[in-house]
Amino acid sequence: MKPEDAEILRELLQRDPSLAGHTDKVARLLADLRALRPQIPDDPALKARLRQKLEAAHGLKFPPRPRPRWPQWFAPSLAIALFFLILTPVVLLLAPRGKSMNQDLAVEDARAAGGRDKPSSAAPLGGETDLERKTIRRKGSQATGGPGDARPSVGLGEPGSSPASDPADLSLNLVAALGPIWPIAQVESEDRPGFLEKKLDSAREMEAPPSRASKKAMGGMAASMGQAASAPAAKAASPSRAEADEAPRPVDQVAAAFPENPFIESTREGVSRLPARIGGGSFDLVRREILAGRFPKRSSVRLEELLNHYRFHRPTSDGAESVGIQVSLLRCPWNPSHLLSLTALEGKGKPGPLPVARGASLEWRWDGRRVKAHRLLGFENGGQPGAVQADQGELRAGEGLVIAHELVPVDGDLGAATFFEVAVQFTPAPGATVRRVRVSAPGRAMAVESAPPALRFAATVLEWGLVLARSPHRGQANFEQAERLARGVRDEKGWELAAEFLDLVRKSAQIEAQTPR
Amino acid sequence: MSPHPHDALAVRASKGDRDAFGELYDHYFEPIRRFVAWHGGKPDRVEDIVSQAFLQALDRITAYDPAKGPFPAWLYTIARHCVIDQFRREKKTVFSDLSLVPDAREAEGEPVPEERLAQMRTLLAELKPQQREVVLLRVWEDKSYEEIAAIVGRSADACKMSFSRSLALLRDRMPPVALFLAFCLEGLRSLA
Repeated sequence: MKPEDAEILRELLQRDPSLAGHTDKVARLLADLRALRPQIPDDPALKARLRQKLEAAHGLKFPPRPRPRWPQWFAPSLAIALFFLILTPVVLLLAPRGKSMNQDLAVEDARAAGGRDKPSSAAPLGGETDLERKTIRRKGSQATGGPGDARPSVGLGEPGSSPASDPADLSLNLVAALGPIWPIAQVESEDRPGFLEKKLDSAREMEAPPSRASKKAMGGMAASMGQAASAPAAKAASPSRAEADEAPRPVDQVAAAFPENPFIESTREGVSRLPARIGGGSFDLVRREILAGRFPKRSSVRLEELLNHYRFHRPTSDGAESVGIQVSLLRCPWNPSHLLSLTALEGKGKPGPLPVARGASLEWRWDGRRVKAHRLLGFENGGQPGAVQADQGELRAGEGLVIAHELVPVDGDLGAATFFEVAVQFTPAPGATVRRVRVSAPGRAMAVESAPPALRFAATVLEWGLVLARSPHRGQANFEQAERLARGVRDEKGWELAAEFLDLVRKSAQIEAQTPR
Repeated sequence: MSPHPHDALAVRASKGDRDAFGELYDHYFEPIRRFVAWHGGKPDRVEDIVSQAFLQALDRITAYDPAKGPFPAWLYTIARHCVIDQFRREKKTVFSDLSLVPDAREAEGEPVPEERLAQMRTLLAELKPQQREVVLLRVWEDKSYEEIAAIVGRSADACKMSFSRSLALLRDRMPPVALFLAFCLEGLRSLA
């Protein structure tokens, strides 16, 4: 029986002593299970390929693991050879004094045994080997000029004990130097800051207090929008995500401390870019926590991942292109004076790689005459959208994503006008010219209640996420409204999927009701 | 949970040490690939999922906190979610389609009759996905219950209970004739 199976069997017996009469059967069962384990050989080519992908995706070149350039036996052999090579002249140098080093050490040990050279309590000999200890004693006796003054505290690096002055020190320093001889391979350093360092820099920037200009801009925005955005947002910039994770939940103040994307004035930043790439996992984390009766941590609530957990978008525009894009505009359910824009992107064709769509990225050009400010919902993890490299995206045929923005129209103007223009750009093939597919936003926003179920559902998921995140920008968002919207979608024909979501919203509302503020 | 030897390396990576992440990548690439392959099946899908897993790990490494669990569990959790997401996109049930597992087995150990393996595969497929996942993580991956708990998001005791019950189910469902024949064969082999 394998040791691993024996351990499992032991655990099982501890849990269920009645198995004692069936150990053979269980052992056989474990062996059979282990025999089913598929043998998958290493794939160094894939490993190298993915390493390149990581490097390309994050603009860094993390150094490969240093590998010894010589066989493993080479370093110890070299060290031993050097040891004897240097020890030999030391012995020869000691020989004219009429006694060998061993004899000398033996005398020292005999004196120590006789009680005259007892080490003091301060002697730093705890970690040395016998050879080191003896050598230190010898060195001490020589440095002080008398055999009776063997001070063990005289050790490595002690003033006045330079190797050049005493040949015996050579062996001492060699013993000390054996460690540094070992590491042969050197890691090549790189001056360019890596991705992680960039992330840390951006985190520090977020932790730093906002500049006067940004404070002014945020304050002005908050005043014009009638929201309490500036204070929480300014406060939001101070704590790091780790601190937000550590803090108790679900207190509003703590959740508000998570740095969220702010509203950005279109006149100040008229173009937004984002790679066509969205992570996963947030929905599962959130669902798991809610089903366990807890609010999820703020850092696990990622609006873009919650939204894209569902596939409800089917862009139909630009039939000739391999990439489809569609823009929808709704009145924002949690802030009636705002708009909610949903940009859906999809790779056309049968599911699989979309070799034409390399480095797919999205670009929004906001019309400052119509859109006063815009805010990207989610994507807090990747830093500010403008800082994301445009070639990080990847798009596969049959797959897509939806990206949401909350917009503040100029002077509450919700009339028929083009609010913004969206373009997706990608490289069809290596070396080919970058292609752009451009779509204008619709001129009129729909009311949520009269929107198609897919759009209603998207808005509901976002509202739910905003409340879960305790976003300072959540406005009038609440679980009851999200539940009402979700219920409406669930009742639509073919939208049974919304039933599970509706349960989550109800459960969230229950947790909120039971949680003390 | 006791700290893992790689936790310190992961902390260095979380503080921006590129070498540390490179070392972690080198160490965990093959285990994660095998983990994904066992559950994900086809090579092109495995490549995608492993790629996503490491991209996400690199994205989130700054948030890694050893106090919340050992690094391997953190990384396996990311890989597991990538597997689940991929299957969800393809509208398939995760960890249920054992036919996707490549039919190549370890050469070590004594050979197991093909019939019995086929029976075992069938029985394993009849377990609930959550039960099967715990069994495979424990037996195929040799993960501790604490690690399994961190990966699947349940308590260690629940994982122990699940494993124990799954083995009991497998044992009870294993046809007695097959067991009898297996013991006979072993007896004959030992006599020979």
